[in-house]
Parts: sequence; C-alpha cells; structure tokens
Amino acid sequence: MKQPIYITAITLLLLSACKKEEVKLYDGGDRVQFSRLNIPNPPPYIDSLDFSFASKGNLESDTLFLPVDVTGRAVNRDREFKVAAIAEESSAVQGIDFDFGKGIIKAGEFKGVFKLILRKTKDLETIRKKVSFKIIASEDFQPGLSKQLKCKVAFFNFMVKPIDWDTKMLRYFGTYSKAKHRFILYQLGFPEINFAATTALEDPTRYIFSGVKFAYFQLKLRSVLDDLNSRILKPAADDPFTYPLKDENGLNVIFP
Amino acid sequence: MKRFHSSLILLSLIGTLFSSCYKDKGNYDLRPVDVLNIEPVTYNQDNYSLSQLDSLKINPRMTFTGDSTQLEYSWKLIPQRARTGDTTIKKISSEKNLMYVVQVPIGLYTVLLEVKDVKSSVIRSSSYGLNVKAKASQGFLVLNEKAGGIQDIDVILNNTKPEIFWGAFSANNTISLREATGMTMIQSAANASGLLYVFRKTGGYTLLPSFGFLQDIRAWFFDAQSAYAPSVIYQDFFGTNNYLINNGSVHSTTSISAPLMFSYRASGDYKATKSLIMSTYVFVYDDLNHRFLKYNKSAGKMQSIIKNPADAFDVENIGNKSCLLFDHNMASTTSPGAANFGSLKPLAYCKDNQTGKVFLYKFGFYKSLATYCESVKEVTAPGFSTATAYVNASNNPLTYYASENKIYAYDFTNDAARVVYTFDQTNVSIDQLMTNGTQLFAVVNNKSGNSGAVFFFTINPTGSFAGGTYFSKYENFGKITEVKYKYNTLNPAIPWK
Repeated sequence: MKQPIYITAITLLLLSACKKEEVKLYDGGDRVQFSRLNIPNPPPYIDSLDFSFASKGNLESDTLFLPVDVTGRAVNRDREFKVAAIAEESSAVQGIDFDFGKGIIKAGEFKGVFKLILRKTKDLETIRKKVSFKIIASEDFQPGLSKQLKCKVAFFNFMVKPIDWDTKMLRYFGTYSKAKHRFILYQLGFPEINFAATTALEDPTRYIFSGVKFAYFQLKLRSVLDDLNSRILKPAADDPFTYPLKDENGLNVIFP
Repeated sequence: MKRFHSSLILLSLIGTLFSSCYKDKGNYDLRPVDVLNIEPVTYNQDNYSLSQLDSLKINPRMTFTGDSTQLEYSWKLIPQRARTGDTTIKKISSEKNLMYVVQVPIGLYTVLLEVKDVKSSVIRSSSYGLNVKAKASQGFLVLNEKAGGIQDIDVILNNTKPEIFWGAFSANNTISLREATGMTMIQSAANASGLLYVFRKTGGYTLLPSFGFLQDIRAWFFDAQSAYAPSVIYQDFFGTNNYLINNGSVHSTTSISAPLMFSYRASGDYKATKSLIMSTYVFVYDDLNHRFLKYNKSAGKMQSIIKNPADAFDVENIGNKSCLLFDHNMASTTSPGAANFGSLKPLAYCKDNQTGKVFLYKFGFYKSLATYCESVKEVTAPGFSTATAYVNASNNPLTYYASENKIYAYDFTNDAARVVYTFDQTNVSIDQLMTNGTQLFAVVNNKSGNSGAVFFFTINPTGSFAGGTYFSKYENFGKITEVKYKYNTLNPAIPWK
C-alpha cells in the first residue's frame, strides 16, 4: 500500500520542475506624462520654458508642441489625454493669452504632443506672462510620473539687452539698438542670445555661445542685412522689418 | 499482480535515475597523432610595415611529421580594433606561403596564420603584426567612372614610372563614390598634412590624406545651405585665406583650423562661375549680370572692381557672355605684390552667347595693386570658341586649348594659334589640360566608350612639347572626370593649375 504513495511522491517531485511560471501583465492602467528631452543622456525633466515673440516676426500667435509619453499599452484607437491650467500659478488667462489644443495619442502610438497656443497680446511688450498647467486624469489616461506632470511656460514680446553686449558682443554686433537686437533674434531664430566666455561654457540649448560662433553669426547677419537692404533678398512673409533697416533712433542698422 | 506492476514501475524509475551515474569507460585504443609545429615569431606591431599596394610576403617555417598534403592553410587579416565576427576581418590566402597585395585602409593589423591537420583536426596558429601606411601621399589623382556608374580615385604615383595605385578611394572607404564632379587637395602651413575635398553634383566629402572619409559637405559650412554644389576650394600657403565657391556663392572662413568651416555667403547679387583667387584677392565672373567682381573679405560682400578712366572695357557689363577661363600667366601660387604688379595680368576669355565670338579681357595692376582694365580683343584662333579644355601657361604668354583631337598653343599677344599635338585617335574628347610650367597633361576620354587616358608632355621654352610627343601615358581608366595633383608635406608647392 505504501509503494503507490512513494511512486506518486517521486513522480510529483519530478514533475514539479516542469511548472510554468506565470508572467503577469502590467495592470497599472495607462498613464501619460510630459517627456524628457529626446537627446542622448537627457537631463532631468525640465518643467520651465521661455518663449519670446521677439524672434517670431509678424506672428500673432504661435504653437508650442510639448511631447508626451505613454506608460501602458498601445491600443487600436485614438485616445485623449487632458491638461488643465493651474490658475493660482498662472498670470496668463486662458482664452485670451493662451489656449490648449486637444491632446491625442494616436492609435498604436506610445507618444504624442500637447499643443499650447500662445497669443501675442499688447501686454507682452512690457510684461512677462506665465501659464502653468498639469496633466489630469481623462477617460483614457491617468496622470503618469509625478515629476513630469507639470509645465510652466513664460512668454513675452520684448527684449532685454544682454549684459555682455557692451563688453563682449559689441565686437561682433556693433552698437546696441532694439531694432538690431530684434533683427538678430529674428534671423537666428533664437528667443535670446548670450555670450559664453569660453567654448567649454557654451550651451546652445540656452542660447549661450562663444566668440567663435558669434563671428559666424556676425558674417551671416551682415550678409543677410546687406542683401535685404539692397533688395537682392526678398523678405520672408513674416518678416516684420522695413528695409533699409533703421533703428529706433533713425540710424542705419549696421554690423561691423 | 497490481503489486508486481507497482514494483516494476518503481524499479524502472530508480533505474532511470541511476543511469546518469554510469561511468563511461571510454575507448583507450590510441593512434599516434602527427606533430605540427610552426616556428614561433615574436609578435610586434611592426613585424611587417608596408604601404598600401605593396606586397606582403610571409613564408612561415613549420615542421610536420605527417603527410603535408593533408594540411589546410588559412591566412586572415584582422584590423587591430576588430572583434570576433567583424566583417572587416578578411581571409586573404589559403596557400602555405602568403603573397598578398595590401589593399586595405591604413592602420594596424594582425596577420593570423592557421594550419590545420585535416586528419586529426589539430590546428596550430601564428600571428604577425602589420602596419599599413598610406600610399600615394602625392601623385596625380584620377577621378574616373568604373562599371556600374561607381567612381573611384586611382593615383598615378610618379609620372615617369608606370605604377598606378588603383582604387585609392574604394580601398579606404565603405561608401561608394557617385556623381563626383571634381576634387581639390588643400594644404598649408596651418594644415601641413592637408585634406582632400571631393566635389559632388549635390554634395561633397572631405577625405583624409590617406583617402579615408572624414566629413560630409554639411560639415563644411556653419550655416545650412539651400543647395550643395561646390566648384572651387582654395587655401593659400599660410592657410590664412580660405575660400569656397558653392552654388555660385563665395564663402570664406573665420578660422584657419582644419578642417575648415565656411561662413555665410558673401552678400551681393551674383552667380560666380569662373574665378581667379590669389591669396587675399578673389575675382569672379558674375554670370548673372555679366561682370567681374571682387570679394571684399572685411566687408563680407562682393563688390564692383573699381573703375578707372583708362579702362579699356566696362568691368561692370561686358554684355551677354559666358566665361571660359579666368586666370593669369604665372604659377598658380602667384599673388599680386610689389615685385610682380607690372607682369601679373589676369586674363578672362569670354564667349558671346549670341554670336559665339570669344574675347580676351586683360586686367593689370597699378603699383597700388588696384586693378584696371587693360585691354579687350577678339580671339580668332580655330576651334577656340568650342574648345573642350583651356589652361594658361605658367611662364609665357600662351593659352593651351583642346579642340577635337588636337592641342593648340594660342599666343594671345599676336592672336595666333599653332597645333602642338594631335592624338592618333579621332573619336576622343580632350576634357582637361593642366600645367605646372614645365609639364602639361591632357585628359583624353573616348567619346563612344567608358575609357580615358592621361598623357604627360614636357614643355620646352617656346611652349611646344619636347620631341613633339608625350613622355608618358596612362590608360585603362574609366571615363575621367578630373585629374588633380595631390601634394604632401615634403613636396607642397608644385604649382599645377
């Protein structure tokens, strides 16, 4: 009587090694958050952005495209995620200064973009407005990584004379004028421009450049202005300037 | 019965479990193995130090007690940085003694010999270091088209010897060369080893002196260009004056460091076609407005050449003409200075787009080195207006040109031309002429097939060719796009133009 028990025990022992381990599927729900910068070795998530209409010519509004990531599964239909303004942290008014586009993650995708539409109002010529917003729960998504849910965008339409203009930038750009500064930002497509003491301190993501780059900027600006002034080059559709370009004091804008 | 079955199953199970404990007694019937030995060589990176195209010969010394016909040999060439399975590892021979023409990029390699006794599967190996150095540090680069539309750069190493380094580009690159239109080697005191720039129809490459790829054309410019169609690149002896003509626009640099990075185009309404560049002087023919312009580097713009009361032609409007050649009659390294301002005469041959007539526009320099328009006169030489190649002599008042299968020497002072050489073949096109003052070469392409040849002539003091014929000839190229001289640090100043 004892023998069948041994046989069964041994057989069970042998078969126990054959048990398939169950792999559990992710069941945390689908979530969405703002992306980190898509560059090698991305820095920690940056939640603050500056936007200047000063370099955007005649544009009356512009759209910022903020990338978002999905945590979870891709599905075969478009899904909506939602973003809400944080009124107590914002000085800009929704519907007047800015609007949100519809946040959509397309079918089969893990990434999408959130559109922030900024409007150039008269106020922006003197003050800097700020909109703060965050990802909130929607039918399709829960908020994702807590550190990547908020974003702040400051926007304006004025320029501040760079502190290094008279000491470092003068050599490349000549005497400061607002018209010249605006022309520089418009042609280079930067919201601001700053001088780095050495090449090692350059940071193009923050528009900080060394003298080597400034020399190239100078040649480009001088050539482009020369051709625009002499009507060899046709101004772009959004070019806000009148040529020959004069500054706010009625003097010709020139690059040395 | 049931108990019997249970016992049987239990015994089988125990038997199965214990079967793994069975000791394999093996087979100890040993056969003697033939002994194979390769005489050891102390490995070092310079066991063999050769230039590309040289022959690597290794005769390994080995002993084998068996039938040597049963040995298999395998020679492999392994780049120093290669890993197992790397496609750059090449099997180069299956013979006992290695005889291999080195045709791999410059660098350090290991040559691995493996000898296998087929009978016993015993393998013995030996390694040798190989240092491959650049071939063709100087010579005539022949850009030509091979089968399938792929181009290559072959090198005539010395135009008095027959050796050609075939496939200098393909041996040193994994990319295929297509749509190349020309090339220029630049080298200066600031860039002693030099760089080779290859122009393509819509792009270009920078190559190292050893022909390996360094950069794409986008790296030549600080600002992105709307079109990439380079035609001229220039660097003076000191490397301080660097110019590039891309898509008809003139560019210069803010730094002399190699590789060069060119700035935004010089402003102005122009399309530069032919140019004459002499150190700080850059003159171009503006095909858009049919005029001659100069580049003002400090202002970053193309400007009119100053008009003078004594001008023999209107430098700002010569009529609807195309420029065939813009050069002077001195060595290509010449630039205006106090010593030569009276003899240095920029010359431009321009063809009227309506009448087909050609005119020679001659410039002069005042002592102040400002230019003036010295003369203009019609060229009546036979075939000049439809010539396929032009070059000014470096040391006499002649312009060589090629029409059909003939090379002419044109005396522009007296408007008289004479034939200096006629090729036997009639179905050819002479597509390029270059001279260094004492020699001239002609690129001769077959009109009906994909073949080309280069002929070298010695120029005598009268401008004719010594002996009335060429002194060397190189054939078996595909259709030749261009031939350029590649300098090296030892011999930097041979002024071919």
